Amino acid sequence: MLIIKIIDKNTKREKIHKVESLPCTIGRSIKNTIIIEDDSISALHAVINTDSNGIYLKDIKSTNGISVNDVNIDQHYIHENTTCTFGVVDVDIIFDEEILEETRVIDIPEELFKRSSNDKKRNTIISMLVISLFIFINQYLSAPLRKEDIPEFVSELFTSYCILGGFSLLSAVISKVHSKKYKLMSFFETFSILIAVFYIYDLLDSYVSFYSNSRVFSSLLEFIFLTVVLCFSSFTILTIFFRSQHKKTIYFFIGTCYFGFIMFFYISTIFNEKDLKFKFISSFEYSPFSYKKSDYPFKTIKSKITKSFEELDEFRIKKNDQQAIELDEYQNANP
Amino acid sequence: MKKFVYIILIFTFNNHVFGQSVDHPELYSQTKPYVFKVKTSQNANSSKASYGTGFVVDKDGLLITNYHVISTIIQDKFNRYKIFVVDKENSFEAKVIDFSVINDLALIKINRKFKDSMKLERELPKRGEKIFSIGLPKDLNMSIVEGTFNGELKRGLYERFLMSTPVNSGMSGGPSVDNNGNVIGINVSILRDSENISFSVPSEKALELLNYFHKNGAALKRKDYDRHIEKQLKNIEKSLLKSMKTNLSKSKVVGGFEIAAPSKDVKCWTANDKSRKNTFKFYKQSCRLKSSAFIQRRLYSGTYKLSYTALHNIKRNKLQFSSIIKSYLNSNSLKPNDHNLQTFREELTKYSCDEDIWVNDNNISFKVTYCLSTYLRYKNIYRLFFKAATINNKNKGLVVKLSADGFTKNGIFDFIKYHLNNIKSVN
Repeated sequence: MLIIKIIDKNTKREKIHKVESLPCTIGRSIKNTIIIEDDSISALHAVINTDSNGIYLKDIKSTNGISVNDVNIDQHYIHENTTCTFGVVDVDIIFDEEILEETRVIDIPEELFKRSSNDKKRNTIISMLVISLFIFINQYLSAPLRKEDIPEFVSELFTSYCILGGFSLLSAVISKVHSKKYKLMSFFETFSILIAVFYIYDLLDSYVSFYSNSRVFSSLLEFIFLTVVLCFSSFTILTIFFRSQHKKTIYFFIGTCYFGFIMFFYISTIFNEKDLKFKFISSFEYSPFSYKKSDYPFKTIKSKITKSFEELDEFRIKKNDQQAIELDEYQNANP
Repeated sequence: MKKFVYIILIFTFNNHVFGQSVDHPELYSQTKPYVFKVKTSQNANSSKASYGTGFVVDKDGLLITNYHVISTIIQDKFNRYKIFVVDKENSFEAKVIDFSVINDLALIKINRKFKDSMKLERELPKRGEKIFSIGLPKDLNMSIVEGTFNGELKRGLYERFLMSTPVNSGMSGGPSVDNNGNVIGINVSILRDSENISFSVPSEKALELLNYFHKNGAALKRKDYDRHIEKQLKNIEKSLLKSMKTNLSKSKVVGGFEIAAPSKDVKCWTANDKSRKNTFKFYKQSCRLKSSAFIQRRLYSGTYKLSYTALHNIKRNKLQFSSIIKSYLNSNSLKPNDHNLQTFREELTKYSCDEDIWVNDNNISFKVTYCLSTYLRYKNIYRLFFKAATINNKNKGLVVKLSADGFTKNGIFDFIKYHLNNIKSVN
């Protein structure tokens, strides 16, 4: 009885749904009778129903609203063929008795099909291999590998994949995006990249910071690691909870500002230190324990210890003052 | 049980044969009027916070007991506790005159005159001579137990003598007397998980306290308690540092590294072994000073520990070998990057930690990490955890761990410098 024509913004291609029974809901969520996958559409956007006056279209508190002839409406009785706009999507509602081929089509945006599924598979396999490689390197560096250690290695690999799978499954379940099968793969890909980053950091940090004397270098490493992980994971989290590109950008901006603020202080404390001995090459020297006496005399460590002494004395005096106040209070209470 | 009875019989029989000694009942009745229970509590009738034994050393009511018996008073911020000397019927409130944390002694005074007092004997008996310890074990009955004198132990300023007497907690502060009933020492401590190994402070130390009071005639003021402990801890440190350096000419080799020979004060253990997977060898020597100064419950100070672990590579490549050194360096709970480590103790501040590289006098490069904390009540007294590691090119590595407690700033520098500068690589 009703035919609803959804016109794609970019391709101008039409998608046609036939409404066979009322009420009929329209929205982004999979629960609806007619699903429109677009960022401007709310999960439950509108409903078409009848009453004594006829068939009407009603807005169900949607974010971007419905407009008919450029006028925002709340409830609109449909007496003739109407063109209305849901968010930014143009929809034609037509009275027609013709039988259509398609009855119910899930509308998936073009952008999701930009990358072929082979691409995704390849990325996932590469990131899994990277993880295996780093686990192997970590194992090898901590102790010589023997045949007996192989089960340990395999179990670590297995555990990390399990954790990965679990995380991506959970994210896919929580996610508001509907095509779950598709999302599971892409979450798996994302998380495996994250774990690979973590392993790289772990490896670099434990070896480089042990050999190099430079606090700056290890802090810089830490900083880069934190930034990468934070950006990556925050964007992933945002993808889970927000479908709208617009909202995602806003939250990402707020998050970046917040972390950037913290990072600013973090970096400023590193660079405020006076002893900025940043010797990049010596950090990677193969034989690490061959420094010159003139570069690292007792004086340097003495000044550091003296600094600690001062810090502790300050702390002690502060604590003693506090205790003196407590004592006064106690004596006043128990004369 | 029967055997035990026989043994006792044999002992008493021996006593009668030689006929030199006083019988226990006589000795007991002779000393009884001068040995009392000492307790700390809020009121005379309230239950005790700590207790021990004390004995009269002066007719004017001066008693000697252990510092650790009355440490509750010394450390009490809020002035809540008092000392009571408990007789059968009465209890007398006591005042602290002087104390020594080095010798774990305290001199207290009550308002009561005595007819006589116990004599403090300056000279120690011969080794193997029979001695008796008197005290109140586990707050039961005043007891007298028999043992033998087994010689002196001197570690820095800490002086104790060893006796094989079954001393129990609560007998602390009680006198150890010889056959004639003269006091030769004051029961201080026992060695846990051992059979009848107990320690006494020579009565000479108690005499020092007593003479000092007779000379000056003034009791310590409450506000001076902390400064008094501070001064004593500094004296301990001085003596430890001095005796640490006396062995400078001799040196010891631990797995290819020459180290400063540990002083006579410390007791050392060595362990040489291969790793479980047989990929490296280790030679470990750990030394510790077995004496320390009791400050308050679960807080001992004025002591240090040394540990050297030399590692020899067998099958590992360079990176793998350095990873094992790294794990040895980080094996304690104190890690160099925990800058805000809390001590979870009221008496100490948080730890302040840092790391650096230091090349010592013999051109050995060390990766150094340390953590420091200080006592809240005492100025310029610190606790140090110090770790250093090195790898030389010939597949040898060394991890040094030092810890010192109750040291001053200069003392800590001295301590670290002495131990690290004396490390040499030996071919």
